[in-house]
Amino acid sequence: MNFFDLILWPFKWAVSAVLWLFHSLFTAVGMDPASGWTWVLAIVGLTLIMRTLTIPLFMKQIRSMRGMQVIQPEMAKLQAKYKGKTDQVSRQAMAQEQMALYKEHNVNPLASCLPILAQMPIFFGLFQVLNGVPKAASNDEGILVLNSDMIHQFYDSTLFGAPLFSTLRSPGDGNHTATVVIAILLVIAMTVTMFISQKQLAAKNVSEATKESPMYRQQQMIIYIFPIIFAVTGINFPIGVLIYWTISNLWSMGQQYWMIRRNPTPGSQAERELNERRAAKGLPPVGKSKEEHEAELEEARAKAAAGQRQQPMSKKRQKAQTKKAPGSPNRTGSSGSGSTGKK
Amino acid sequence: MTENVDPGVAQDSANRKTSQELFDAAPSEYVHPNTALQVLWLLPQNLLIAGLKIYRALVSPLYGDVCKHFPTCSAYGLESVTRHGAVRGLGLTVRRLLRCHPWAAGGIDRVPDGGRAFHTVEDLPRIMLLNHPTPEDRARLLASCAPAAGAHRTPDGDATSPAESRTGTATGTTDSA
Repeated sequence: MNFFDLILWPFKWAVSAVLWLFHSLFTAVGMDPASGWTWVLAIVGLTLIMRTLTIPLFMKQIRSMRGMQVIQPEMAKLQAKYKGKTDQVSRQAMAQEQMALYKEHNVNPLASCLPILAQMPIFFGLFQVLNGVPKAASNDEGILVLNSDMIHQFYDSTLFGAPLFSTLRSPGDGNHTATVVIAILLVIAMTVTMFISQKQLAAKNVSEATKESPMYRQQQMIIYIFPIIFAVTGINFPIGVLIYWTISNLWSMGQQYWMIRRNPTPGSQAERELNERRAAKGLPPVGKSKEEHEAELEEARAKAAAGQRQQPMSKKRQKAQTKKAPGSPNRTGSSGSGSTGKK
Repeated sequence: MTENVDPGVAQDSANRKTSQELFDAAPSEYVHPNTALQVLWLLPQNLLIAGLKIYRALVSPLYGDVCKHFPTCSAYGLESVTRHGAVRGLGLTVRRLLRCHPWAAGGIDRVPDGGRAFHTVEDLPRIMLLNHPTPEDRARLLASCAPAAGAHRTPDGDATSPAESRTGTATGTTDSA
């Protein structure tokens, strides 16, 4: 047992235990223990358990995102300070100041790295369990919590003729065509969910300032590499692992949709859309009380009225002024308190 | 602003360049061995650097911004392995990852000083520039690399730095790798 296996062992054990639990559960309900679908559902159950465990972390993140409204004016100042400075080092300087600001006000909207990294060994654990099935079945052995009977059931079970442990490269004794078709469909499903998450949802949830940065553009380009990565893994990974990954992607997509709709990043398109929906219902923009919002509206109206008095103006001058308006000096103010300008 | 941080002449020349120019001309993070034995000795460090760079290029973007700290965990990992070598760098990275959990307050959390020494701003590899983005940050970093005696050793930074920094780099990491 090498070092990598040693670290992976507890995760592998947990994976086998959860698979055992769900398989026993579904069998008790009356499903065929040797059916591929029972095992698919057990894998789906594993995904759901994994993702359910991360819900409290997700809710924690949402709560801290609400705290962001408090530092919104200072964030706007920071964005104005770094406006137009799009080189990587300047963006880093901005990130550094932003982090200091979060710390100062004890808000931090970011998810943290550990939970994400912790999901990787579960994934590899599942990979190792499924990959070990053919060998364990031929040796009449069990795999951790799964006893040898269950391993035999797993080994014999198929999904439309394709064994769950089969990969594109080693399709086992099952129906090769079925393995190929299912693997390709799952790779497509993974790519589609990934694209929807990144291009449709996440793109709406970044502020204009972030969109300018070269890092963001690089990030957007890398999205196009992922179908290739998924295809490579699709060739080498067992169908059961691909099912886990696809379900997990679907879950992330739903979670992201829910979060972006309800707690968008300040200054993003998603926030504008949320405020439009709120306005349609007669609610003030997010983070403002009704009184504050009305006071601001009143102020804006007063300003507009005051502005109207300077009305006599040549058409040329008027044009020049309206052209100037969306330009640099005013922009800084409006990008920060975007909701004020909007309503 | 740099005056109060024990300014060297070398820093002066670098301050004239924009951070982007510095970044474009910056050396890579890899440690260059001088002897065959060093190739082997530095192999774990250079492999880790390569792995972290690949991770940052391909895997990090998949998750978007998640890290609660500055520098992010992967940037911290790359800098700590670059500066402190494979063993200490890996240890620092693991400890940082354990600190980056949902209940952590986050904030600015830098790689500890020490390890490989850098004498001029031009010597700083890219990750060091990204993790120390302002001139003040870089001045503080270089001051930490040059303990008492070292601070006066390079009166003419541009002329002597390349050769000197190379030997400094090699010995610096051999100690810590």
